[in-house]
Amino acid sequence: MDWPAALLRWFHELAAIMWLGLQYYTDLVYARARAAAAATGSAAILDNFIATRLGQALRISAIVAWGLGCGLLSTLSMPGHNGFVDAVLLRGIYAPIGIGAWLGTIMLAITVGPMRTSNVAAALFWARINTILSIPLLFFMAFGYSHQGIVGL
Amino acid sequence: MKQSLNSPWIALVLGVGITAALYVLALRLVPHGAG
Repeated sequence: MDWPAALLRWFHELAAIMWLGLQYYTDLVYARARAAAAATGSAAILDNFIATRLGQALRISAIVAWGLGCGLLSTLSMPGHNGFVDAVLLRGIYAPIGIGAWLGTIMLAITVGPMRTSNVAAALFWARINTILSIPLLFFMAFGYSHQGIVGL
Repeated sequence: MKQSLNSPWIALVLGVGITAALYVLALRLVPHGAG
């Protein structure tokens, strides 16, 4: 039993699902609800009561998922290979999970950077960008290391 | 027109396209026969 690796993977997945769930809610539900509310002049109500809390939950879950992901990469180490270093440098069999890690890093930067603005319309644009990036992210998280053979990597 | 361009389906198509491009890159980076 490798408890550190198990706990890192468990809570990385928990935080990541929380992050992406909130991310899809932001892009697919909140943005549409806000557009409908704006048509009646009441978008500010949604922004006041939801946007701030939504942004906070997005940032916390993103940071936790990313941090635990970094730790998880190090548990993939083998003799002569540091999983974290080789993934970041896109080396050998660690390259696919490294691509996923870089996508996650870019998405984290967007979540804590341009999405954190009082301009809700701009934040929602960046939420759409993160929705697009989440699609390759999930591919490389699912198949980047543990299940490479399924997709021929 | 604007609404159709903002469709989540466009995001899905773009995301799958990026995935395909990165998959080709990954194939080049992974040593042949590994995985």
